[in-house]
Amino acid sequence: MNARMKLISTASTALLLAGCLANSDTEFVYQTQTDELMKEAKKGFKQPDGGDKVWGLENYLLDLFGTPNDLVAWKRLPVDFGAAGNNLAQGRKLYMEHCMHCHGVSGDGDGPTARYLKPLPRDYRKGLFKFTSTLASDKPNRDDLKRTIKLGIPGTYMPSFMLLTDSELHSVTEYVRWLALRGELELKLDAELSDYDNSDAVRQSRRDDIAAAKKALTAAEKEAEKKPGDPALKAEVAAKQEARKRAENAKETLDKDVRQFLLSQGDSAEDGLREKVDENADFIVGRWARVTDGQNRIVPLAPRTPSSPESINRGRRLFLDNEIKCLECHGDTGQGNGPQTRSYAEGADKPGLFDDWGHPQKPRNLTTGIYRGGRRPIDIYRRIRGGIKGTKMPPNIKLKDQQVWDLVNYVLSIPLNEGPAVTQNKHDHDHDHDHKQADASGE
Amino acid sequence: MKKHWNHFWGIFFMFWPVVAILSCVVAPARKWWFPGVAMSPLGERIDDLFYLLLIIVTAVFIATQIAMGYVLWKGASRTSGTAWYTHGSHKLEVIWTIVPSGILLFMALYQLDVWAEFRVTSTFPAQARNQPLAEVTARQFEWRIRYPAPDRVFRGHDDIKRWLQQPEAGDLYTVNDFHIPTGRPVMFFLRSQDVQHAFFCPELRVKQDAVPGLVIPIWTEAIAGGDYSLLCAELCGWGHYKMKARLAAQPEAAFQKYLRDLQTSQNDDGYVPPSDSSEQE
Amino acid sequence: MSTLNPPANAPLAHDDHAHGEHHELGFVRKYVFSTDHKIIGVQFLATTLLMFILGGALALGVRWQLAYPWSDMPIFGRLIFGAEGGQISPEFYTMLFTMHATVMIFLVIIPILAGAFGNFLIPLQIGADDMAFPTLNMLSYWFMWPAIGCFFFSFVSGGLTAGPGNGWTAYPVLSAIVSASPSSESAQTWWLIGLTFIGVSSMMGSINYMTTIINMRAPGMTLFRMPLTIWSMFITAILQAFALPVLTAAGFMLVADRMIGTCFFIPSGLVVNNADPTVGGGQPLLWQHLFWFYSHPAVYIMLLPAMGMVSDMMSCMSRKPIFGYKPMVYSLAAIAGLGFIVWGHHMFTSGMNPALGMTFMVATIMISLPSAIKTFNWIGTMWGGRLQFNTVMLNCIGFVSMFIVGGLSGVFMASVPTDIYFHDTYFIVAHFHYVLFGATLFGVFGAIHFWFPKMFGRMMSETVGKVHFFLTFVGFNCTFFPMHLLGIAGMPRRYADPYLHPYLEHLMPMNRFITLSAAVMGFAQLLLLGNFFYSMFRGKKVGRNPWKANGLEWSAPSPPGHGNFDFQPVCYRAPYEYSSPEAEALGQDFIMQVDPPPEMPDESPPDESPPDEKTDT
Repeated sequence: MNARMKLISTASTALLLAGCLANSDTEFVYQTQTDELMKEAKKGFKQPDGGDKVWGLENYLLDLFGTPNDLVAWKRLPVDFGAAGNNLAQGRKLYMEHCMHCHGVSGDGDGPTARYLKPLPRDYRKGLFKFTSTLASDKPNRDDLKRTIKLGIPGTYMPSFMLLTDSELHSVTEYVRWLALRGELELKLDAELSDYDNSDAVRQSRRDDIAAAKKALTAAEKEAEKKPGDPALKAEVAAKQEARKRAENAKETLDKDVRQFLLSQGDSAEDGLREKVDENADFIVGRWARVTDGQNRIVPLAPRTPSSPESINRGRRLFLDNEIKCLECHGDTGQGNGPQTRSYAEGADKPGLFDDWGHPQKPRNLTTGIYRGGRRPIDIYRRIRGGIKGTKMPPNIKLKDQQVWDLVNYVLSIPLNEGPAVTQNKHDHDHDHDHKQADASGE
Repeated sequence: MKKHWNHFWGIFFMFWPVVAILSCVVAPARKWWFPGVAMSPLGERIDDLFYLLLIIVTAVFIATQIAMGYVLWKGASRTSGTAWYTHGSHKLEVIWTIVPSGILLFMALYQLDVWAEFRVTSTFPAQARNQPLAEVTARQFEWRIRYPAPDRVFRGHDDIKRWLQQPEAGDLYTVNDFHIPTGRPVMFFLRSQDVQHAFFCPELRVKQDAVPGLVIPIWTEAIAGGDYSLLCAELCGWGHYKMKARLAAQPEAAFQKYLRDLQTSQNDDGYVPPSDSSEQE
Repeated sequence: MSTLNPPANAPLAHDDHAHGEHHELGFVRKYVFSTDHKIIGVQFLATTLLMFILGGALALGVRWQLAYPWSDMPIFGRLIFGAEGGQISPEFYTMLFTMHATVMIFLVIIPILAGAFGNFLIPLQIGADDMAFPTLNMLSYWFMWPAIGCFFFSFVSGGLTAGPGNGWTAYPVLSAIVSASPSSESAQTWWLIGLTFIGVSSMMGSINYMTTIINMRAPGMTLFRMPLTIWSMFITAILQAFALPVLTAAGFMLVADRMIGTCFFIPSGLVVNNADPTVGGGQPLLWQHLFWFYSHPAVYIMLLPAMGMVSDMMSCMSRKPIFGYKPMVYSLAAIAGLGFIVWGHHMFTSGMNPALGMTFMVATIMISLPSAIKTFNWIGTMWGGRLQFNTVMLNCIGFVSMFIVGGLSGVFMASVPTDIYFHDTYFIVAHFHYVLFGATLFGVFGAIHFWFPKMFGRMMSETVGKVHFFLTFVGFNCTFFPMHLLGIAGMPRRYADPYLHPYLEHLMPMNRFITLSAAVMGFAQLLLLGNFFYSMFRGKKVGRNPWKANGLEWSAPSPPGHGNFDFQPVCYRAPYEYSSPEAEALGQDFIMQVDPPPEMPDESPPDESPPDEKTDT
């Protein structure tokens, strides 16, 4: 654009921004556990001797991660920050443009649009991602996340960002990983601090203890006044005084312990919050780093059995098998209406399945032909072998590869059938059972 | 003094049409114009029609603005004496009714056949109509494309209908990346999974609403290869602007290779034959 | 009522209208729940001017996003999206443009033309003492407030970021399925209810105007002696009466689809937002047909009154009769009539039968003919005139100039092949803003200045009026002309971030320029408001006919009292008799419609000829 347009563009920018300059600042949102936890631990407080360092969970997180407008590239993390952190900055910019309104500023899955979406957008902060190629107990690797961003998740509001350039895809993936790491560290530190449970409830109970002790003391003193000189009653008063002292000390000790923990910069790993930060960070980093170079991926040992009516039939029998239990959730016709969707989990007040984020979860309806994690045979294979992290879809490592491929062929064939899969009847099942035993003996 | 001010206003009202025309003259050089020449034969005809209309419209614009400028100038100059007492001119009314009618009717009728070729299925090139290329389904907020298996040959309308209603095992699926071959007319079907969208490829000058419940055939032909923009042109929710996709036109051989590669990757079973060290589970 | 044998200048007969005891009304009955058409007209005017500011603010939000996408938006961003740093969410953007259009169309333009000026002018210009149904008239105004309430409530009912956002066109299936978008939840229902209320208000007005104009004209006021303002209001009222019921029906059908499970517009088998598949059986295209069957005549409802008023004003300020009065009348009728058979041009790419595309194209292209005739006649009106370049006239010339641009740009959409490219791009946005803002609103600004003295007995400031015109005109052209170029470049409308698409990235500087111009234009409207409200109390006082115009309204006092005229008005001649020989015989350059011909015995009431007054031009 020529000088005139540049001038107009600059002038217009200056004009419109002048007077509108106060920038609203955003912050990362804390998880509920953190909020409920010790208020001091979350915020922090100055050193007793007046030093200007402030200790506390919130401040550590600010130090090591920064705020959305002012990011910090903490080298300990297995994130490609890029030269001078510009990868992170570009990732953040892209994230704010494309992702934030669903996934939230903090990656908490609670952006402005989120509440209108079914299913809800992913909350990264547990470090759990559903559609991965890694083992059930492992983190996703970079390719998994890139694939999700690139292909989208059909059947949800996660669209395909096919047309991002490689560099953009890389930087936004790094930013998402960084958000996940931050969330995980926060949760782990919550767990550490909860040993020193100084939440409101506990404090209140300690205050209640003190109040109860005082009340008991007063009652004992009153009793003693009625019969002065009675040794039993005197002992009672002394005991109640002791009890009151103990209650008051307990509260004080607790406060002291907390401060000690937060302030300590001792040598051993047991000593203070700073040590716990590093220790927990290393643990998390280890888990993420373990999968970055393509290790721990689920890879079949046998090539796929070509799809054929026989293979599909075998797969169907496996699907209906009572030991493998696909139909418990997916239903015998694969419509996602199995008995588990109507039963109550332990401690739940609503029937059905719930995922690790606490949201109701419907088993996949396999008749639609929509495969959220991808429709390649390897994708279905990985769902069966590795389960779907964060959900009730369990991994299965007992089946042999041939069996898994039969299941894959069956699953892929379901939407192509004219009607629902044939339901099992007793005769069929018995026959299949016998047949299977014969097969098993031959393997 | 008043006369000067009045003349100022006359010039003021003439200034803006001049600026308008000037901006249109410099617009193509500054790329405030079509995103390139039309890359499809019907697109070329649309562009031709556009320029024809532009010429007619510009001529009328200049003529009316000159007339207005004249009456404003003269009116500004006439600060004394009476105005011209007239109730109109029957002759002028007739002229400026008949002449514009003729021009307008001409414009209307001249374009009918371009429209017909665009939309009336029976005028689609037979080659495209008989062997549809793909089914493009718009959904909130992406484009999902399903090709028939590379070796699939359609035998008649019923066969096509069957394919549209029921996916087949060999179908190939992509998202946001629609490939077509160049140099021959192609037809594809447009559907919607949820709400209304619209298939818009500006370079090929193609636009068609995707209506839920309807399956709408679209035909086009890419004259030259390249990556063209594909985007949504009917409000479909908050992600309306985000439906960014690519319409990639490739020579026939490259297109067939693309389909075969797609087939291979879609059937990927992830199995890596063992070399020295096999991957452990 | 016979209009052929006028009793010349008879004293006002009270028996002509049902009128009870003359008693002094309290403040509330006189100024709030008034049945006097003049008060109601002013109420409409004040309300719509406030809504104008709201609609403009929403538009500035849209423009900000297009100039500085995903940045910290002033006011809207700060107040609602603080947690995100002021960055609006995409569904909020859809609300901005939806409500901008809704407020501007239904709460500003239609009420200001029909409700404000129609109400105020019709009885005065035809020599009646009030509308045919004064109470219905009052209800017509007060039904606007539930509509405003519903629209305001829709902003917040689902959450601040879930206001109505499915376009003012509210196409199903997006608007019919509640889970299809955040805006499709309760906000959409409130929006539809608000629409129904405003429709009721319009309908009441329409019935009133048709009846008044047919039945209550003064003696001597034949149909072809009515000013073009009245003709346009009359034809507009007919348009309203025939078109509005279709929209209301469609609105009820959509509410039913949303709330009670009918499927007028919802086909079967759709899975939206992982809700249960729709039961279906309906057609989304049906809504489009019903909606545009009203909304196309609606755009003429939004244009014709301004055309009529501009004819009045232009003729007065040129000091000569309107060029081609009868062709002007016939053109108004032709626009209205043809306006009923062109609705499909909004649906060329919709997937309807292509044959309809052909028929609608021919009809649409032909509808530019009467508009062209009118434009030529306006230029003819100024031709040979002694032009007064005051605010009124400047706004009228602006109307004609912008209408030319808007009308000509419409040709590209009327032609179906080019519409394939231009549909839903910024070319359309440019076109309709040129006709709705460039034409209608400039006509309205002129009308405000012109009839203000009649409404309030005072003049608005000429200087401020001219500055307002200048800034608005410059700002308007700088804002909307480049949009034609954006449309040619293929920038779609309703996009929160067009720059995602590579072929549009280079358009940001132009969008920034447009935003800057829009801000200038937007803030200039505060000048008009300031001028309006200030002059109401402190403007220069004037008498009955400051403009030396010749309509019936200028023979009434300024402002007219109860019953409008203090004599029985009789119409002796056609409108727009400026610079006629008859007038010269009286030594002036105009003769009023109520002035008896100079040869007749002079039995005029004492204050028939308005005293000569200087007005600043």
